[in-house]
Amino acid sequence: MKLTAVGEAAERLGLRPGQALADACAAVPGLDLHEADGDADRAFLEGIADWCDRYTPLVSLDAPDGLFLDISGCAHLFARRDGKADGEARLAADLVTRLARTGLTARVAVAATPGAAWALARFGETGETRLAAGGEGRALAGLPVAALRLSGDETALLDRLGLKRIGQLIGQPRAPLAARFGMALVRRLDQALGFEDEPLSPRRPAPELSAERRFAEPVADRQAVLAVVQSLAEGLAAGLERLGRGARHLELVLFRAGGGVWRTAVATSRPSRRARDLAGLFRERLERFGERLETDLGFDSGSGIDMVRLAVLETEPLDDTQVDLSGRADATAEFAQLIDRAVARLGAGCVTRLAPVDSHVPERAFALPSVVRAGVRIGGQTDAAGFHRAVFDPALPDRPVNLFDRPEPIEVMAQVPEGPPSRFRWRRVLYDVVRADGPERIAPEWWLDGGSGAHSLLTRDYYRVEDRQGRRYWLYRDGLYERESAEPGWFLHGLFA
Amino acid sequence: MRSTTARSDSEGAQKVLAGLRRDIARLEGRLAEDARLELDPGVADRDITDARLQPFGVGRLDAMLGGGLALGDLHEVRTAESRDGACAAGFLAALMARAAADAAGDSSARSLDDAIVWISEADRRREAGDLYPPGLTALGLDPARIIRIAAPRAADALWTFEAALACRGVAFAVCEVRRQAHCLDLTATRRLALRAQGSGATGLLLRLGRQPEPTAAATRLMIAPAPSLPAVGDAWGRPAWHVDVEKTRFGRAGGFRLEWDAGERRFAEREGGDHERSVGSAGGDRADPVAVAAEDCVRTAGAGGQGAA
Repeated sequence: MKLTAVGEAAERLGLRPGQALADACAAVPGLDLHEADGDADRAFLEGIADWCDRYTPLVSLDAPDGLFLDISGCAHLFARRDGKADGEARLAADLVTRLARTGLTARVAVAATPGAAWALARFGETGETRLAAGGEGRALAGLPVAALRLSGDETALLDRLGLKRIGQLIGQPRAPLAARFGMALVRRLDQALGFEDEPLSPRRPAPELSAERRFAEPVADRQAVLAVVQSLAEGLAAGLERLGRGARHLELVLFRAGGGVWRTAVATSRPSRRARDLAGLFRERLERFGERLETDLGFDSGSGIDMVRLAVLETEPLDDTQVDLSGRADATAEFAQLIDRAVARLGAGCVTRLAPVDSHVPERAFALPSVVRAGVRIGGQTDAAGFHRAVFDPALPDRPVNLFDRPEPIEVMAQVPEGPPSRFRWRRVLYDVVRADGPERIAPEWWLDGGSGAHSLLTRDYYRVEDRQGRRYWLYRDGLYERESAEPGWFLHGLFA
Repeated sequence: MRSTTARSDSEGAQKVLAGLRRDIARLEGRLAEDARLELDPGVADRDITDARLQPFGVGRLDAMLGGGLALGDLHEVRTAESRDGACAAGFLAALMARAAADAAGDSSARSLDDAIVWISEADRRREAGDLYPPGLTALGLDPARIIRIAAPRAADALWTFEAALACRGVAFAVCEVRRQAHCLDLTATRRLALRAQGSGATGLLLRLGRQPEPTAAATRLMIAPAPSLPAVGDAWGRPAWHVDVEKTRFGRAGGFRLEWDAGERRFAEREGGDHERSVGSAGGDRADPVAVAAEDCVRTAGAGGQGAA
């Protein structure tokens, strides 16, 4: 067992990561030891990465302990108005200060290539380092070869051959270098020096459009946040108008002053760029979280949020004007807006269409496709999403208007072995069967089940029965007498009108 | 039956009185005993000539409602017991199927193409199950027109209901609630009614296992299951309901036994099948005495009106 990480105090005592646990314990008795938890470390790093979204939407992870931020085109936002301090320096300083406030020590380097930034952040001088493009060779020459992001074996090999500094590699002929140490080394060198482009893979796709606002003092009020969302939406709407597009998918990111971010997304069923509508969706969405939102955002504890970003993740073309003299388009637009608001407030799973599915097993005979993805159309004719107009067909067996997700077990009091019950108990109430119809035998779709156990694999005999008051039930016997089950159970599956 | 010799000033006074009674009944959301007097049919008829109506196609019931259920308004349907949720849902499905059938022959009607928003509260789905599309088809209603909204709480259900009623692309909005929703008071229902009147959408508020409460709904119907009348032998009969009209704009009340023909998409009034009702529970029995009492009341009032003339 080895030490994977040590705290500041342990470092002062001379402990180092990689040291054997036994040695460490012998050297310093009474160590405060914790087992390494890679998943938790990664989750923590992800949290920091989320939070770094405040600087740029392009953040990529460099596990286990690093992050790459692509700040091209973002840094000027942090520049002082008088131009005396440039954006990169202020951004880096801001990052270090804010992380320090949450108890994290960060080493930051700004460079033109990810490789150089990585090397300087880990092996360069302490403090924030900035390197202008073109200066990589000189800046990296004095650093150890490990700063090239090499594997342990490669570093050890170079070390044995006396190649300890990057500067010693830079002048070497490339072909022998590649032959001796492999292409990986050459590539790392090229990437660090900017001879080869190294694309970063951001954790989240870059939004098509985004607008943000920073607050000098943290804001801890829901209405204030919504007002900012509204004003950001207006900015985005203007941008969408210029592009001739409408938003289909938007994300709201709230940056907590105390660290961490809170994000939520809404989708629209048709492209839209009406600021009021888009902001309204987030109003409903925040409503959905109720008072939990205040707690999550630290409004109660008085910390609040210090930045709001509204991003458009997905757009679709949208004509400038949609004029329809009949007013039909208006009604359709209103309906789409209704659906979007409902989805924003209740969640996509709660707002669905009803689609028939070709299956004779009752609980599989329909699907609940989400409205947002299936698209909104008023009217019942077959549409693009493949919904067919269902018509009454007397040849089809009668089906209940309400179905239970899980058939409810009932107790059958009197029965003939192969017939319907004459009396049953459901939810502690006894019902006398006055009329019965059936059985309708429904065999399981054994080729689909695969014995998963989600549905029983027994043949069901369905009966439609009516009690004295005229309530009508859909019951089934689970399994055939004596052939499949000695004591078949009875279930109530649905209720007829 | 109206007398032609009625004095004009008395008729005018009666009209005013009837109007006031109606307003009070609407505001209080209940049917005052004295408001059960049959109002001058002429007044009622003039009131509703420009309203869009959805008749049931059952003469006596439509007459009681002043021609049918007013579209673009809020109506309340309740059941005495929460386990009758499916029964009432089936009734509403049949009603909307009827509306679609009527609209099919009338190009200016909106109900055929516009959507149905069907909202149900979680509690109600636990109690009586969720909408089952093949069952809706079996009743003659096209499930493809329905947007199903599964609201986690009653407050969400009502919020969605109000939003749906305010939307012009919606033909019908159904809202099923079970719990004693304190947010469903007179003020809240009046908001719902105003939304419906503004947009032209028709609101059907289904309250399960509820005592009558004051609401701003134009109509309140109480639905209870009715034993089916088998066509041949012991075969499965058509869906049937006891429908008690508890409140209308015109202050009339009465009870009916309706049957639904899904193939023709038609309601029919058909008596009988009640021989076993006396054996049933108290809840199931409640419908009949009220219905009879209400009919008596109507008849007496009619006779009284004639006498006065």
